[in-house]
Amino acid sequence: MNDAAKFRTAVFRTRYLMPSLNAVLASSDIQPGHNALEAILTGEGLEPLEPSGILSARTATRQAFDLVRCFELMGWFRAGLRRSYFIADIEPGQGSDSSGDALVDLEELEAQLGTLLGTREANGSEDYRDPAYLPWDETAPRMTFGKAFSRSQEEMDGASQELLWRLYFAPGEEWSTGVDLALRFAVDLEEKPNLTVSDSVVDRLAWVLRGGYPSGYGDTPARWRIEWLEGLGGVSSAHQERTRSRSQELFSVRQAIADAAAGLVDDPAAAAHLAAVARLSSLGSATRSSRR
Amino acid sequence: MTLTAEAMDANGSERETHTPVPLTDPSGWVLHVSHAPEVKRLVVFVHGFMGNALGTWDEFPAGGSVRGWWRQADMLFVKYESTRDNINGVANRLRRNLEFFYPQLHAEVREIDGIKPRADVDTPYEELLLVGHSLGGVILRRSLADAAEDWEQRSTDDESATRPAILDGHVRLFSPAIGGFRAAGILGLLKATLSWSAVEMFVRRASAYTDLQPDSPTLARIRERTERLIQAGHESLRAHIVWANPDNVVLAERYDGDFVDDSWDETNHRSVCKPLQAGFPLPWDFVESGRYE
Repeated sequence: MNDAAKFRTAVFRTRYLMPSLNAVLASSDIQPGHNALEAILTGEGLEPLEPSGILSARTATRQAFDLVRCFELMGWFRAGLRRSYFIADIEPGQGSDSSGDALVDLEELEAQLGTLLGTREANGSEDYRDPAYLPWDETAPRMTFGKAFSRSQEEMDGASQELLWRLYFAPGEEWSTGVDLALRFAVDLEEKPNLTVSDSVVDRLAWVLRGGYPSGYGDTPARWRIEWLEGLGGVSSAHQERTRSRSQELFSVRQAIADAAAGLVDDPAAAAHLAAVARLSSLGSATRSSRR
Repeated sequence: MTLTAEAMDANGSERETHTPVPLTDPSGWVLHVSHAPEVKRLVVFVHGFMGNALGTWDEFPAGGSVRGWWRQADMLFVKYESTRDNINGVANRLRRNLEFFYPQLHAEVREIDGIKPRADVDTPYEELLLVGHSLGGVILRRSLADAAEDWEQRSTDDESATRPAILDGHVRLFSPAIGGFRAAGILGLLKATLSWSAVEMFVRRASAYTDLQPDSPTLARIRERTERLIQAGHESLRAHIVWANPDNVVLAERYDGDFVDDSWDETNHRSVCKPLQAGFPLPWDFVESGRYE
């Protein structure tokens, strides 16, 4: 099994961790992303970052999102180590950008992010590195570690990433622009059912349509990550309130698009079902909100 | 079903017999590489409408933890955007790329960071299994028909022409959409997917959805070509097919020349292709042998 664990670790390093670190290090300096993450979590808002910041608020918040993704990946790595799925050959200092220049001390980065995100409090554990938040239960008979990890990465497609960034990290202006585009699209579709929509337009709306959450149905892409982000000890009530408000706006937009799209379906029963999807989504969200 | 001692770790936990490797080319495809000393076969999985490369198949990738047959198999999970790509495009991509996956282990996974997945990465596979669900079945049939016609033409012109790799395949289809959607299939599809992708499908006016209507010229043409090719002696185009019962999404129609099909009660369009270690091993049996029970 040692050789298999070595191979898995090489796959993890080259296919997951390094691309993720390269995204963080695209601008060499991770401090803007770190600052943006702190501002987001404390609910201070991002306005102080624009326009005088080193990076635009958009870029800084993207970097903040990439940092959280790195933290999640390190959590998977630690969980895999416990399971002997991986071996411990990813040493501090092995993170580098694509040119191999900018080294990152992974352990230090993990410690900083763990403190900022408040994972000790969220996990109920003394160890900020405890990956208790991952959607994998060692005692569950059907879910092997490899399956849980690869499925979690499959779910993190472009639309899911965009949804998570917009809902939790994006500056207000970015959020509003995205929602306005989706609402205009719903109105156009309602008024002109024969409207031909280019793929590029639908691609820009994919985060609304495909991001999976909020949806009233079972395990959907990105859902566990949202629940994790909502439960972090470092998240302020101001940030939670902003996210709740954005979720409600998202429900409204989805409802509008679903109602308009139902007009495109010939089968009346299918049209009714399609429209009902959005309403059920809203119910699912209400249930989750009331649990908090 | 119980795990064999061989399939258990020292601490009694399930052994992970494969490593999933996300590929860079084609992007989104995932190759589950076996760590067994001897690997005999490649099993290719093609998901259906609004499915996912891995999610569609649930416990299939874990087959190695319960059966030796699967420990001796690498598994390739094909990914495509069903609300965006058209049938021809995906079928061509599959046919073109399969040459790089069979009979030799794909170059991208033979060694990663200087580490091999198993000692022997050079011995070619002995067999190829092609597994499709729903729209994935249509895509496979289109790929096979194109490969067979291409082979007919090339081998006539040049006796030394190489036979396309995909024609080595044994075809296993789970509720394939080869007869198109049922009249009220769209409602069944919506209920089966329960996802916002359904909205996206209408907004995009997805070509694959249009092509899956029962009177679709695309489906009629694939059927006509495949039946002709089977009659001309292309045995590898004959499919073993199992249907869900009830299946409220697709019409259960096989082609002339296919093996006699069967149905599994108490399954539906989504669950028919998802084996369970506890209680539903039939999908593993079906892929291994083509038998239905």
